[in-house]
Amino acid sequence: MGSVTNWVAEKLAEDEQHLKVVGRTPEEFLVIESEDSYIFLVAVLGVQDVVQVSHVQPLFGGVNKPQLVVNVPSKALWSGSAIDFVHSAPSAFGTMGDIARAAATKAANSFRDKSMGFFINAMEQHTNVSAVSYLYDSVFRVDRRNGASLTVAVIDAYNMSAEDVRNARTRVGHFDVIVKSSSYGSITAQAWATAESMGAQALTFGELMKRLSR
Amino acid sequence: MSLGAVAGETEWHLFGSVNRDCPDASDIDLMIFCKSDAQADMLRQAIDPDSLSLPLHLSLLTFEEAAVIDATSVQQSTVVLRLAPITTTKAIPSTDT
Repeated sequence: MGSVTNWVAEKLAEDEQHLKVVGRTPEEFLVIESEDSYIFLVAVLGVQDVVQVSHVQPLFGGVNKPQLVVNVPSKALWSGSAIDFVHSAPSAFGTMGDIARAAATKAANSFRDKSMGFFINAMEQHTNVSAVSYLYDSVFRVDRRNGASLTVAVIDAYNMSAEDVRNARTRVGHFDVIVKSSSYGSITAQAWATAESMGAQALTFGELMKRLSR
Repeated sequence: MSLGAVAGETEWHLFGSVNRDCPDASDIDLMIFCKSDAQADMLRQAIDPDSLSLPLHLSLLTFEEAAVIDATSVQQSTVVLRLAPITTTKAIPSTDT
């Protein structure tokens, strides 16, 4: 964990996010201070593929508990069980870019990705949805009152391309629906066809809401 | 995988806050237009989103996809890089006897 923690500390020192690393705990968590004097602890993981509960559990066994857990590389996935564990601590998870966003909340342990939060709320409030749970950080199992459960992958894209669909399949495996996080922009015909070839659907947010009913 | 080896004939477009020179930009929005699906897939593998000073928000589209949705106009993007085709040099067999 040491070298990746050092790497994040160096990156924070280089950039202009107005954050300072003011110390380290005995657990090697970074003590970070924002320019408005908000101080919080960040644990850094260096998991290459999927962050599991076994990676995050030890972070919460010591005297100091991190308010935020970030993983490098940002391409790695977070498993649903690891996310649930971190949230129940209570703490937050994310990437290095989320450190500044979490600092801005002044309650880093309650930080949540805005676009995912929007999707989770919208799906949970749907009249035909009984439960929404994380499978990965951007993939959800949506249990419906009528109809089978759906696996919904959310991609952070303005325009959804065929590559976005293939990349999601490579990273997270099966999904029934792939939806883009932005309400604006387009889904290309190639993205739609690629999803269909996988037995899935590429949908906008509005189309997803209709799909949850059927 | 080397980026140079897979990036031939691509066009790189910046859009969003960095392209508008916003002082508080929180991420880098980059679209890369590719000549084929395979090239888009290889570039996704080759590009490290953690290598830049700000988080990278990367979109990979084929030129055909980008043209149909008029991505450059809609995103008000700026071309920052236009790469020439990669030229391959065949090894010349040795003439030593």
